[in-house]
Amino acid sequence: MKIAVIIEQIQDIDLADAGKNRQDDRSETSSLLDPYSEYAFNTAIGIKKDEDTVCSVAVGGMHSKDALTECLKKGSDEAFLLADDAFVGGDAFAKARTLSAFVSKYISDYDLIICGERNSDERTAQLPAMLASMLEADQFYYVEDLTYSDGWKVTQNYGNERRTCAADSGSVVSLLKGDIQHIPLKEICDKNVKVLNRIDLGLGTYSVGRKGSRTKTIGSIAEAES
Amino acid sequence: MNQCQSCPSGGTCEEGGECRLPPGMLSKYDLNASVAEGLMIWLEVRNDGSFGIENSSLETLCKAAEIYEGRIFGVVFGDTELKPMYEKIFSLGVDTLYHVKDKRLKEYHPEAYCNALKAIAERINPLIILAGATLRGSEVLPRLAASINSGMIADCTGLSMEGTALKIEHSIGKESVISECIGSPQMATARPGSFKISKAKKDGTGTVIYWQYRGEGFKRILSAERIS
Repeated sequence: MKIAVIIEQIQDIDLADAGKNRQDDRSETSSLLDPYSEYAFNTAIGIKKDEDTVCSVAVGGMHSKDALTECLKKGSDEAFLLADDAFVGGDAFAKARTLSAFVSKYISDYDLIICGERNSDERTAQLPAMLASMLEADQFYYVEDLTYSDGWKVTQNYGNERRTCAADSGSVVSLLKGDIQHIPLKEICDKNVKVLNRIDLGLGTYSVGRKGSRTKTIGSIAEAES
Repeated sequence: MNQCQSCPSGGTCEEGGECRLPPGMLSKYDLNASVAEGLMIWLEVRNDGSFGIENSSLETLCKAAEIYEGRIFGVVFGDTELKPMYEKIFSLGVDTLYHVKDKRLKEYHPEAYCNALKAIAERINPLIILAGATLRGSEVLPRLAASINSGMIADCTGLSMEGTALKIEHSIGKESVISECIGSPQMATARPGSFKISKAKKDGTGTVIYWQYRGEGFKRILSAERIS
């Protein structure tokens, strides 16, 4: 069984100056493994048995390598960084397309994709649904419990309703954030982060990044009012 | 070669490619222009045991009716119990209401909801698709956007029109920015509480189209409980 986890380097975009780094361009922000991704990753490691593999994947600049290296040291079997200058400035749609191309080409035998709450796209949580749609997979949002026993079972919390569903293999799950258990880092890690670019994924320049985006930011409200 | 753009021959006609249309007609009738028209809004039915439409959906509808002058299409999922709501929905600005009837859709299934909304969107070819940024709206709209190859802005706090372009105010970090979607339909979810529910704009009459959902996308729900 292969579990893929979407890792985000930084989620605290309050640190990023949105005025300067339009369209989620975080190339100049500091490196951090965000707590939502960390919780998602820890959940995958908690479910993983000996014969299973956990694959961590991030879309971003080379600075995201640190987060993926941390995942390898915490028990991830593989780590992929999707990095290319052409990916810069992509919105949730472009990012989902990049990830769906990666999943289809490199880990098409996956069983489950786990995303953190508010994953990867300015806290708007569009990415899991877009990724699921592009992969023609089922999606499960607001998941507070995820177990595997003769199939996946997910418990979702919709605020006024809690329900448990059986999830098919190949589903995309977005986890609600819970308590993060500390996983000790291995001192020695012989695995490396594999870096893939646009060509590796077989994507055209107009499919990714700013050019492949379906939305654009045209200015700040403060600028418009002044 | 001076190709004639006004006839289907592609410039190979005997007139040598000279345009025989009256001057200015080609620029007036841009054949590449989008023909998308109308605003579609998903009116989410409350799922907390009380009866009615989610306030955030009604807020978004009122804002939509304020900024958009064309036809507004509403979409509701439910059974005959929704009929008493028709008058209120029409009075707040909806012209045509698509009522998706399927007993299986009484339970919320994001994939099936998305499939139904997609089918209706393909039918009416709207310029804009809106929904409230509730937990369900924030889950269904991104899936719908990806399935129709469109982009969307989530959790917006302001909406305005500039020609046919929808200007969407939302936050990135601490800064409020204005964004727009490229192409159509232009999609957004509106943060609950961002807009006010206004008084009735018109009489409570309009067209209702019953839409029978025949698709798939139903989850295997093992158990469900209501929580406070």
